[in-house]
Amino acid sequence: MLRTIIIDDEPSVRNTLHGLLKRTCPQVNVVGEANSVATGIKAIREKSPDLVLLDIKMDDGTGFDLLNHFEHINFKIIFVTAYEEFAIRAFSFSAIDYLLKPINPEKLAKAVKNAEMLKSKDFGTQLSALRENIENPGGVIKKIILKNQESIFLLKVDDIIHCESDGSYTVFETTDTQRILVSRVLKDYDQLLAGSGFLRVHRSHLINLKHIKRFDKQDGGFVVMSNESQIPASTSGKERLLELFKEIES
Amino acid sequence: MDKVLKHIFVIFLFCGLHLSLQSQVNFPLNQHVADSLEKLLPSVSGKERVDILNGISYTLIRHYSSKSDSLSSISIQLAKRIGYKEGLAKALFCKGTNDYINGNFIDAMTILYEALELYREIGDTNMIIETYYQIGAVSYFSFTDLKEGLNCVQICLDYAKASGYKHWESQMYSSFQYLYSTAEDHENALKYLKIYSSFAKKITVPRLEEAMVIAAYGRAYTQMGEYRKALDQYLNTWIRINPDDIEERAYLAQLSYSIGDAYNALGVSDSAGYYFNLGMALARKNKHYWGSMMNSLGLARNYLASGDAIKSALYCDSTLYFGSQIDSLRSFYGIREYSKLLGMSGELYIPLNKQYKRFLAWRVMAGAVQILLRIREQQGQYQRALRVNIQLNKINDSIVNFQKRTEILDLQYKYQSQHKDDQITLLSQENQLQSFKISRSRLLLFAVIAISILLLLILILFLRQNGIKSARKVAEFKQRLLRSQMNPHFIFNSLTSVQNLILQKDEIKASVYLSRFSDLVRNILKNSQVELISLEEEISTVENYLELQKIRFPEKFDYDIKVDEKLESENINIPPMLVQPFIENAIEHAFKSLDTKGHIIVSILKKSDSFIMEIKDNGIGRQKAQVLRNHLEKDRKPMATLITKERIKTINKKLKKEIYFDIIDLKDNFGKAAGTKVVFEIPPLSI
Repeated sequence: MLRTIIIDDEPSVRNTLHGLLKRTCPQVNVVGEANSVATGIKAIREKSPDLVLLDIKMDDGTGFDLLNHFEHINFKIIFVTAYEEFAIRAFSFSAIDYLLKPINPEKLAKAVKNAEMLKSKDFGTQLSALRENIENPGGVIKKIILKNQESIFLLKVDDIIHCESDGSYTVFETTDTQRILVSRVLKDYDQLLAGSGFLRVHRSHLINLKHIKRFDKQDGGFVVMSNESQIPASTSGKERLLELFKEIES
Repeated sequence: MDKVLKHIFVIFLFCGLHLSLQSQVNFPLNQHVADSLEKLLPSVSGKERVDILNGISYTLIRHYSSKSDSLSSISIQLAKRIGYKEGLAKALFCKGTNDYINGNFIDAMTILYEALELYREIGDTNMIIETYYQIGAVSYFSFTDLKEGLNCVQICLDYAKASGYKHWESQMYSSFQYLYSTAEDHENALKYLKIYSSFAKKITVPRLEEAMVIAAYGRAYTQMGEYRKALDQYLNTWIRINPDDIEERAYLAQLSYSIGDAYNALGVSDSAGYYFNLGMALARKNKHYWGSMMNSLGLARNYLASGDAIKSALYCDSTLYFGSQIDSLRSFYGIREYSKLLGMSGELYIPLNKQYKRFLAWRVMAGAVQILLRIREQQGQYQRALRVNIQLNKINDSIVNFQKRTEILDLQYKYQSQHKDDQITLLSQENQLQSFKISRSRLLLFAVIAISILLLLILILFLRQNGIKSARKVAEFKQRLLRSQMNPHFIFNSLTSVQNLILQKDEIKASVYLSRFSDLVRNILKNSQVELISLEEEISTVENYLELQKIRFPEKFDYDIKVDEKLESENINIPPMLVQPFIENAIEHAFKSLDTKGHIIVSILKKSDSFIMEIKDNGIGRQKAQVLRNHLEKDRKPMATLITKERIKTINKKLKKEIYFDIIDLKDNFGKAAGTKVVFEIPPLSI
């Protein structure tokens, strides 16, 4: 059984989560509920849960505040939020599951399943990425979690040179010459990294602008990256790139 | 005393010098010329008539001034009518000169200048010089303006030299000599006399002019104290004068005085007395008061010097008698028909006006009275001395009055001419400005167009920029307003509450809250379209909102909505969702760490025309609430106040009304924070 605690300041939300868990996740045993950060900490310490459904915004603080009170997090967390733009972005980079209110029962079930499967060590990596990203002043995302079958990678966003689409996979090239294959489509990462200095220069290529060495106009134009890899640019990609150059020039 | 006589003598010299020239026209009076011209008058018309009128007028100027004056007036009219410029100029010259003689000095100047302008246009140098000379004479004899006199003479000299009029040139040298002599600048006086002499050698010198030059030297020597030399010159002059002519004899009477004066200075009082007596005799023959007066004075001084006070006093009395005759008759002659003759040498060329004649007489009389006063005092006849003194004061008063009058005249004239000059200057400046403007107008036009275009461009850019800015600002504001009313946390948590009701299988309740929620969302959406809704609608929105919040936090707070029954809430307008942000603030922040249950009271009260809407909570107060905000919230700041202030400002401006808005921190009896009260006072609003 998955010992679970629900922490949310709104009783109706707690009730909803509780009710849905009962119906969709029979493996879950709700061992406690809390309506604030303070009571949440207390409940976790008392019950040592396997899983915590954690609201982000509460009267006396946030879910992240709560986590700061634990040195080793030996429980899985599913964040629950009504609307927290910045936090959601941080979750995405950290590949941490979160639920939006009102709760979609299917997503809840999937998230619980994921949490069940996740190794504690890997979750620790994800969580540390999340913390770094959340705590960054100005909200600049610095770290990203990449997951595949074999392992989970914590990368600095700045170290990613280039992402290439490979069917339903995406290949990451990094400064330390790693090539990481992730089973997610490039489009997802395009959306994720668009605000962090990445540009889709081609249907199959997402590049980190910080790693552009030069733009070669030959053969329809291609971008030469810091690791000398040559990235072809589509017509529209070229235009966007040249626009960026112009902006930098001026 | 001496100065007075010197002055008079100088006038006589000055005028005398021009006898040679003027005798051709004016001296002696060409009565027959005037008569013969007058005979022609009825038979002529047009230009010829103007010429004849001018001729008569010009001839009669000195002797029949009034007739000359009226003729010149007729001539002016005629010349103007027929457009005869030369004739008009001459007539104006006559008229101006007559005005001077009759004491209308300012008119004289004005008319003479008119004549001068015409002569300039015509280019008659001879008459330009004569007119200038006349102007100089008026300047000096009417306004006692020596500087202007010198100036005019210099102009005349320049014209004379340029045009080769020798007779004018010589006349100007003598005029300079005279003027410098008056100014007691003897060196310059003698210098011009010598220039005259050397110049005169080259031309034929008529008898009288020769006589005057010699007399002038005598005058110069007298001034330098060389009486012997002076006497020689005077005596040399004497023999050149014809004693049978009344006017020349008048001159001789004056010359007698000069000779006697020189003898007196040399201490030869017998000879002096002889010449004074001779002068008396010459003057007496034609009742020539001027001559009698001067020589009487000479004798009075002579007797005084020889110690015969009684005889001196007698001649003083005589001097005063002749003087008073001149004063009352305003003429140098005691015989009426001689009154138009030249009574003194000063009149030979420059006709003296009557006032000036009186003035000259007063000055001589003053000299006599001074002698008389001294005699009476010496005799100890103080009563008589006193009477004499009174007489002296009277004469001096007259002299001072005359001088003041000329000063005033001078000022008046100068003011007028200055005014005219200013006007001329102004006109020319205006002309310059005009031409400047014309020449500049193109450039100016270009400049104006260029600047206008530039300004327009700047304005357009500015407005566009401003428009973009304000459009962006409006959009941003609308978004913020919407965000403040449509707090995502509220929305999604409310929906979750509904979700909970569904899970609880409380279908009715779920339906009610879903409906309330929909109403609220509808209202929020509506807000972006309308600016005012009815108070009734607003109250129901507030209630919806509070109800929905209450399912989220059933234990957190209670609420009351109190509406004044006097309010016709369906007919009163209010900006939508005005109070909602403050209710939300209360729920989200006011009741944190509050032991007791929170309470929100929304009250709506009528206040005359307006109504008051209050949101009161019993929370922890604004200050503490701010401290307790977590870091995610701190980023969001309490927008409600800012946004509401901005919103009210915009509404007030647009509707030209004054919505009052205030937040009051409530205190309990111990001064501790006991909640917050938000107050709106809303006047009747309509769009």
